[in-house]
Amino acid sequence: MAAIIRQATLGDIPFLVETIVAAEKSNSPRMGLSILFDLSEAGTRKLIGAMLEEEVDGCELSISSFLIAEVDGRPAAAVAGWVEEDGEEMPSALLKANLIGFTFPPESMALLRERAPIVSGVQIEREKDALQIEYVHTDPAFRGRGLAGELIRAHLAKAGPRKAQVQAFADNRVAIALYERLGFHITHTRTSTHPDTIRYLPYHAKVLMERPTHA
Amino acid sequence: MQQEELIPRIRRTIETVLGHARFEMKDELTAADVEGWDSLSHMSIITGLEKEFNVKFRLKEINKLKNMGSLIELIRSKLAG
Repeated sequence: MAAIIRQATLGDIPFLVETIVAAEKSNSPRMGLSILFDLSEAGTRKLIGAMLEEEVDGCELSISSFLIAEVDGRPAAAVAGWVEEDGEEMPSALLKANLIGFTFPPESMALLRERAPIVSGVQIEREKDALQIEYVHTDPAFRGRGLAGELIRAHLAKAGPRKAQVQAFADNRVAIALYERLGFHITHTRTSTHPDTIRYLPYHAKVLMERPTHA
Repeated sequence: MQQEELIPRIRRTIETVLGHARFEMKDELTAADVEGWDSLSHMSIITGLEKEFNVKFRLKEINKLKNMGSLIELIRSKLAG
């Protein structure tokens, strides 16, 4: 059965939490958000749900950023996409930071202050006005149908002519191969030199991949 | 609270988080203009300001901040309110 592509709604929050957790793990057992803040995975899932419920627009934790591929009436895949600093929006990194600061417990924030220098080496700045693709996930039961690619193409078509960017951990060959098949190519690699980065994140390097939305 | 008293306290809080004073306190200043003011330090700056002024920001308020001028105005309105 063909998938229906639609905008995510509040009712999709449980699937979006799955999407964000799977994407944060990036095919590794480490989920940056829970390890960095010393929280259980269950606790982090609750906080991700709470951040989505805030309905902030313009970042990867915005329900409005997500497109869903629905098969047989259930969500099968999701991908976030938004135009960076669109209109009057703040940079998405600061919107996400505000959401985390507002939702996570104060003791987690104290830990973050201590650990920020360990993980900041892999951060890649997002370019203003570029379409940002993030949190790409397909339910394992629906893999092999090209749903993630279909969702990314839908974001590209929706965004109008501009640059599109996606980031991936440099060891995530599956994701990088998917983006290459969709016409993205690596334009930048950022590698952390801090020896402890790998304790908190899936990998110590990230790649930035780009293509025009309307090739 | 007078602006002359408010601005140095905001500046000191930001300096403490960033570990440097290489920025000018002007209304048009944005995070992108200041070395080290990234998403990670941003969270510490916001919680540092809440502590310094004993105020609690709402998510909608901090998501609307455009620059230093709107941050100063937000803190002033919190203290007045």
